[in-house]
Amino acid sequence: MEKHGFAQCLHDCKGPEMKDPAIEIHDLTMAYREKPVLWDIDLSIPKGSLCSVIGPNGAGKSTLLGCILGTYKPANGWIKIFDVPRDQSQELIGFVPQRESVDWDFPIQVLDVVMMGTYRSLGWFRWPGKAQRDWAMQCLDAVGMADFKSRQIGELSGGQQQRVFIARALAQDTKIILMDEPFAGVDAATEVTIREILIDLKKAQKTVVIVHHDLQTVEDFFDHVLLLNLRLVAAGPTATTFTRENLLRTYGGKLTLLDEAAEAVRRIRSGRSTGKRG
Amino acid sequence: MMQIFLDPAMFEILLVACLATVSCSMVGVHLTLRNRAMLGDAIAHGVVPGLVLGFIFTGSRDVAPMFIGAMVSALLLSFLAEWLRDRAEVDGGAALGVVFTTLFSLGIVLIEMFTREVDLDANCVLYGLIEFTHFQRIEIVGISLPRSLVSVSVALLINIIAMMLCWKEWKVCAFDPALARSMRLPVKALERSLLMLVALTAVSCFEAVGSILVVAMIAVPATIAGILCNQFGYMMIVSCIVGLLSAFFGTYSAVYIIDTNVPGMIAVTAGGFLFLAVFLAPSRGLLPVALRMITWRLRVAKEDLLADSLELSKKGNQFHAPAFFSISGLAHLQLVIFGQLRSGRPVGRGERIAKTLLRKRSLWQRFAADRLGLPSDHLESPAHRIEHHLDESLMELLEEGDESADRPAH
Repeated sequence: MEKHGFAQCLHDCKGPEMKDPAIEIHDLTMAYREKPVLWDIDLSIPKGSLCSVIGPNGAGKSTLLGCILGTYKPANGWIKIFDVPRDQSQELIGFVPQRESVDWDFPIQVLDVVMMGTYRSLGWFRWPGKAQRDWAMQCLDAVGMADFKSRQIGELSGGQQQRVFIARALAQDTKIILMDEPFAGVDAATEVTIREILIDLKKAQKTVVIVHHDLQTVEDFFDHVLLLNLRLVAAGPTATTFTRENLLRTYGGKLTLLDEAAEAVRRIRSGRSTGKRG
Repeated sequence: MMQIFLDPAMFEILLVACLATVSCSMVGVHLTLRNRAMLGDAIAHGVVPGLVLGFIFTGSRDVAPMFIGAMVSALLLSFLAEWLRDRAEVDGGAALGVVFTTLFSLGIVLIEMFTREVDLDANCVLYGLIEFTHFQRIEIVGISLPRSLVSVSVALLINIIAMMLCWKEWKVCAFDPALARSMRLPVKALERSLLMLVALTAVSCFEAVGSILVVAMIAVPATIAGILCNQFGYMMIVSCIVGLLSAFFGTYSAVYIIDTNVPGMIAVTAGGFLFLAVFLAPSRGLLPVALRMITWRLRVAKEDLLADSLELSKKGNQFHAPAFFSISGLAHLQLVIFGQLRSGRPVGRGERIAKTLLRKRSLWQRFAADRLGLPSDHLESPAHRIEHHLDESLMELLEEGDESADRPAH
């Protein structure tokens, strides 16, 4: 793959090659309207790893998850899931959304939320039955929320809500699970529970990708890290990648070139619209 | 009240009203949960040009061409509104508002231009022709049925079937579109088919009951159900029941009590139910909440009075009754009436309450001092507040803690 000039200088960092990764991303660029939020991302996430995505606010972490999930359509590049292009892959991906993105007033009870995880395997037009209910209960039990099954979701505390959504991801029974800041604003008990679940998931050979904020716990929780700030700063095993130098590169220096490029793109857009007006 | 069931003409009106409101209430639940209750309004008005064009092209008031025209304009409406929102960066609500008013006005203009001589006019679109239900009949397999009854029954049937089939799919789309997408559900197609269902419901109820009732019945019963329920399934049922009740009482009062426009009266009745729900809903209603607050404050005042009087009488001081017109005055009155407070001293049950309360207070003060390590001037007022909230199990916990804290000291 040959690259020239500007693209080349964005491209100086490439994840290490690995054999049959769970998720492989090649040359991914994602833009909201004309404003790019992810630049030329190349990375692989190994099968069965606990992988954290780390970076400052607005680094494009959630966008990356959205691209893997298929919520956003990338402007450029491709994503492969277990070596199959994302759009053709039948492989499903479990997802635990950011807490802010959920409508907590929705009239739905805890068990119903978890049962939603079984809808796909149930197929079109069929109603969930006892088997689905039992499986959902089992998943609720795994996160220690079985006693709350008949609560309306808005009545739960933040940590409990998070656990319910993790139970839903478990109920989906997918090989890959993405979580958007599951540790944000949860109580100590929930943190312990989520931690235990992560360990269980690792044992079960699941690939878990988590957007994470707490740099203190990265080394304890995860075996793989992606450092992200609009582009990929570094990716690899925690031991070798989660270094002071890489963190400085992620959070520290401004990416002046990228900023200017984004500004140039914006200028074109606004120039066009003022031209129309005039 | 039985007379409405005995007069066949009246009964048919009632039936049409009921079936139409139930269809609207069902789609209304979905729209309300998507915070798009006003989409019903938009569609009910936006389909008018389609209806008129269907009529102009065929020159007949057959169901099919008007229906197709309406569906096309509903689709056009949603495409235009989405296009304005995504491409021209207009706010979503504003985009919808602009598009549907334009389309509706276009419909009115078309009506005035082309159909002046025939029996399609703006009034019939707004208010419907429910009063004439009995006189416009068609034959189906040899049975003479009112025309509008057939169309609203078909709409209701399609609604029920669609809701049963796509129950969980639409539910996921409403609650968590991201999850739906990650499950590879065609979210856009599902949402659009829901839109078509709304259009179908609106169009088929249009002629029978008019657009005002359609708009009201999509928004109001579902909103009431949202206040009363916290489960999707119950919400659907309650919404239908509210729709039915509004239809019944609205029709009845419009025909037999105040002799007025039936659809208008149904919508007004539903509005009345909404106010009732806002005030009386057991969990969230303004009145029950206020009542619970007053009961609680009264209880606190009674407990405080009993405890105070007990402490005063121990010290041999005189207990003074509180000012009559106040919460504690009312509490005092109640205590005296129930014989729990006699001449400034708690008696019987009152005495037990006072003693328990004092015990709770001292337990909490010790807990705060020993376990939380608060200085002595921080103990008094929190204990006074929290003592009323301590129930049996918390008491036991505190007592246990108290004993275990005491043990090493002895």
